[in-house]
Amino acid sequence: MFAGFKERVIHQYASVIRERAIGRAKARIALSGRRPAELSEDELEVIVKEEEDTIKRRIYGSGIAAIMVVLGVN
Amino acid sequence: MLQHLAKWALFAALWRRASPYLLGTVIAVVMVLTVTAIHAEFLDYVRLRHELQGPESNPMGDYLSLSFVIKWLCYGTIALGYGIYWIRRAKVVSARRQSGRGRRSSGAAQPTVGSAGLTAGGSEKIADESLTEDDAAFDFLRDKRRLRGRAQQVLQRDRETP
Repeated sequence: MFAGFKERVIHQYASVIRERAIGRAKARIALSGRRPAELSEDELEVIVKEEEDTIKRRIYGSGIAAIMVVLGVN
Repeated sequence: MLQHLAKWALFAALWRRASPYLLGTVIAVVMVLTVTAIHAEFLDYVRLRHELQGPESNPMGDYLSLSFVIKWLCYGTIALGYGIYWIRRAKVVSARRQSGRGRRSSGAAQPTVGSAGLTAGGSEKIADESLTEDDAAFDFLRDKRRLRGRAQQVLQRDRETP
C-alpha cells in the first residue's frame, strides 16, 4: 500500500515537471521561429530533456539552499 | 536576513497549500479542544466530589471509565470526519485548479488579430488547431519514464547499427 502511494506521488511530481519542461521547450522552439511539428522525435526529446534537467537542477539547488538556511550556513 | 526571508517563503508556501482546508481544520481543532475541556471539567467535578465526600466515596465510579471511552470515541469521530472532509475538499480544490489551468491555457491561446484580413473567429480556430497540433507533437514524451539526451541517442543508434 505504501509502495503504491509512493509510486503515485513520484509519478505525479514527475509528470508535473515533464509538463513544465514541455511548456518551456515549446516556448524555446517558438522563439527560434520554428514549430514542434517540424522537428523530429529525437530532437524534441533532447530539447525537453535539457529543460527537464534545468528544472530539476533548480529544484535541487533551492532545496540545498533551504537546508543551508535552516542549518544557519550563510 | 536570508533566514527571515526563507521563513516567510516557507510560511507563504504552507499557507498556499493549507488555506483551502483552513475552515475544516479550525472546526476540528475547536471540537477536539471542546471535548478535552468537557472531559477535564467532568474529571474536576468527580475529584471535587471525592474530596468533599471523603476518601471511601466513589462518586460517578461507573461513569468515570465510560467518560474516557466517550472521549476517545469523540476523538475518533472527529478524526474520521476530518479525514472525509480532507478527501472531499482535496477533490474540489484539484477540480478548481484544473479548471483554472484550463482557463489560463485557453486565455493564452487567444490570438492577436492583425490587419491581415482574417476574421477573429477564423484566426482563433486556426490558432487553436495549431496549438493542439504543437501539443500533440509532445505526446510521445508524456508517458516516457526517462528521456534520452543527445549522447544517449547516439550511443543507442550505434548499438543498433553494427
